[in-house]
Amino acid sequence: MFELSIAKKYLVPKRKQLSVALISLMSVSVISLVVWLVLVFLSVTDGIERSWLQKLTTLNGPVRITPTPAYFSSYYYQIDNFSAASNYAPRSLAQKAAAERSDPYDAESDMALPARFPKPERDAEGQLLDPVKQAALILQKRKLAFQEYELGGAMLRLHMVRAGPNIAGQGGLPGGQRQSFLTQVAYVSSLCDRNPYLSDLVIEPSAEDVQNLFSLSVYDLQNTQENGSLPGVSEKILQARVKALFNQFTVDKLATGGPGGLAEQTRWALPRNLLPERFSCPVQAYVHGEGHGARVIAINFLSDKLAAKATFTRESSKWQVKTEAGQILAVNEMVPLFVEESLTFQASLLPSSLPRLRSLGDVVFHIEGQLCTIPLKGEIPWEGLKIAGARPHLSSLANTASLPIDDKFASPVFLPKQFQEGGVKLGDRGFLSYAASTASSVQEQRLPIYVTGFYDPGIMAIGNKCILAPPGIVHTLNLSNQSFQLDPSFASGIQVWVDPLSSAKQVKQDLEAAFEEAGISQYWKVTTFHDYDFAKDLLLQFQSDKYMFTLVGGIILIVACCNIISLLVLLVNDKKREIGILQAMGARTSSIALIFAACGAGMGIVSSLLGTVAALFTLRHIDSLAHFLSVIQGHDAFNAIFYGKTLPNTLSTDALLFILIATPVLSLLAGLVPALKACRLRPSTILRSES
Amino acid sequence: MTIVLSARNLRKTYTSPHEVRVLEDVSLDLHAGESLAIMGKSGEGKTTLLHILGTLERPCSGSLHIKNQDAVQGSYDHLRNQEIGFVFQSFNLLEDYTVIENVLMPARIARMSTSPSSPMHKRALELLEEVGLSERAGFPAKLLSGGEKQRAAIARALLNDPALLLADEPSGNLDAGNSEKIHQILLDCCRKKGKTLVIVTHDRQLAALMDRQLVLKEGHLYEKDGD
Repeated sequence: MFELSIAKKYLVPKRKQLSVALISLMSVSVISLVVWLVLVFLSVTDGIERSWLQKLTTLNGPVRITPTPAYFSSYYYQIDNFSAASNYAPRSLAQKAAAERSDPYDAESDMALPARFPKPERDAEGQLLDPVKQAALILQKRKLAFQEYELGGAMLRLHMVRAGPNIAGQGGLPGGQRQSFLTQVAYVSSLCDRNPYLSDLVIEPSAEDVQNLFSLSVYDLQNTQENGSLPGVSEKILQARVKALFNQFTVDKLATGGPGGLAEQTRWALPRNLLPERFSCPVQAYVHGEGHGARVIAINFLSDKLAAKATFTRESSKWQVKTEAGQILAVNEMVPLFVEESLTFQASLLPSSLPRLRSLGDVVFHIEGQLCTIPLKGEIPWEGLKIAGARPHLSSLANTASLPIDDKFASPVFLPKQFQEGGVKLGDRGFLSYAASTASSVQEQRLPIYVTGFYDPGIMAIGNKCILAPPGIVHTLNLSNQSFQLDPSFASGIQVWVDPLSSAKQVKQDLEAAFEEAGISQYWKVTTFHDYDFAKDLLLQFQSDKYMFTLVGGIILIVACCNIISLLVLLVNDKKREIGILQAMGARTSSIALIFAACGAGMGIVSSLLGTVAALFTLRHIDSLAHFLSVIQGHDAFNAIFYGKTLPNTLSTDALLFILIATPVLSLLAGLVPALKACRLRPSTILRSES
Repeated sequence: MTIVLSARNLRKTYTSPHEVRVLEDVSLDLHAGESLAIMGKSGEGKTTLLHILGTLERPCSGSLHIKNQDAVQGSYDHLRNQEIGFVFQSFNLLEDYTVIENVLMPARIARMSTSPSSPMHKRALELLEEVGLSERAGFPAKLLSGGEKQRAAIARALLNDPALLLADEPSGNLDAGNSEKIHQILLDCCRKKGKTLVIVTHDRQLAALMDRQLVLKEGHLYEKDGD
């Protein structure tokens, strides 16, 4: 096509047309820059929106089916209160789904129903209509991941025991622990273990958490003494606990500064068997006496080498120190060696040490590390070292959500990560307290719990107060709780997880139609995450932000594309004579217009591609950019609470589509202005004036 | 003989900045193979007439038919591309292109294939051979001499085998030697190839070589009376 070849000829910079070339280059650069900016900005905001959406719809399924008032006033729900088979109490949705009989009432053995009791709704075969089982059947047919949930509330009380030295005023106890308590009103939601995204929610236990589990394993936490101290457990229990913990976690790193160390764990007594046969190292030597009576009483390996005034050497069995004055003193086996430097070792457990252990100090690790330039290697007891790295066996943790706690009465709970930030650790114990009415009064009841993990609640309004507990616990709370009442339609339902999220509305429509067909639509309300109270405003805000950013991006793009107009007007003036010649040879005015429109569109396409490549590069290195911005500003440029641990780095397809369509179209439109100008040129006038 | 061009009562008036009547009822018939020289003083409207005959400009009134096709009403880009060849005083080559690209440009505008193996490419080379520029085919047009440029322009004008060749002072910017060559090529086109040739010129010698000579004076065309 001759128009395109002419347009290409016009756009390729030539030495003798420096002004056009420069302006052309500048226009392309400006548009590329805008394309880059818009793509990066929209991709990041899009990524943030997606990550927030994911957070919103992981804990709470993107589709939720909740019972309507018709459900609670139905025979199907009410009959539980009159049936021995249901323990004269309403069953949860999960219980109803699992029940063998839809109607637990036995007219012969159960009490007579009141006169105005709701009539049972029956299906075509005369069976009691079971909305829960019907709904479950419909969901199963569609192969959707779903689970019944229940939400209640209670007072959470946690007892946190931390191993450490006694410090006056800090809850120090004779046994060498510090204890603190945490009390908070909390929502308790049933843990949906069929949630396909549960493992995404659960936060991997930190080394500190694992350390805490081991530290607590030595105490009998159920039998606090009158003076507040905690007794230890028997060797047998300790061995069982430690073995179970090592089955759950692989400890692969140890560091100095652990419990049992001296002087606030800053100094570690270095076992001699770790040191090699030969070494020489600057140290601080403590010498008692003078002259021939001088002897070394302690050696300190310092991180500050300048402060080291002596040299400690070993030649096989010969250990000696050369003092600053040049005196050489022998170091006998009784002289303690300390390390003030913080050291981390690669560690592996020696399983043979477990069956014999009487305290945690009997656990033996094989460690490898380095002190100054001295390689350290050997087997040492677990004293004065803390866990610096542990790998949980995730399959067991995330799926069964259980820790090896030998308390058959306590239930495992997941706490929101905010508790972790507040100092709560894995293995901490406590109870859920609630008020229940008895025959004569209202009494406090306690359900023992232990912290089995932490989860990211996302942005749910009640998120940082919502505990995930086994369904039985939540149902117990809801049945007898007198102090925490929730709207029944809010307190239970069925979570449905769909993939992709965009199909949520379609799934909702499909389920509503299926419920209608099954005759259970009056019992259920189907909502998608778009309608969740805690998400609605946020989603709307995200949407309007997105529109606004796109609008701003579009405006900047229009301004940038206006550059093309000035460039092409210049080009039309520059190429006036050629236009006349082409017209004299029979070129149509539409062809002339097309040449300049193609110039505009061509610049738009090239700019889009350059900007896209630059955006891809930037997104790939977005964290470096964020780090750079943080360094410049002197504080975190992007708050992790809002933006997540790392900024989104995936190019948004919507943004790319917007750019790849908008830029060439705008450029083409910009090219049309000079194209129209070129069309209006009269060849006769041009050729006459140019001759 | 076939009438190639027929103009009737052509009028042209420029209204800006003030009214100037350039052409008044100009009528003209040209046959195939006929050559015509249009002479006249500067500013009499010779180039305007040539541009109107070449459909580069529209007359205010009157009719013009080229090879029986109306060249005043409607779109006549195709007519200009296929039936008219222009040769300008200032050559009007596309400076950024090579000689062969310039010659092939009318074919490209007509969306014909101009690949090295195409008939049009072969024809362009033949035309360059005829005008003595075969060795300059790959040369950038801007590096040619004036005479060479004009010969390349003639080759370009002839590429689509037009019936009508319009030349505006074709040797106005050339020395005597080159002028003679150009005149010869143009006359050969007319006599050997049967092209209708219209030349606007001040050169009496060149005009004398044409079949007819007309003088444009005060908007009217007159047969040259021998002055």
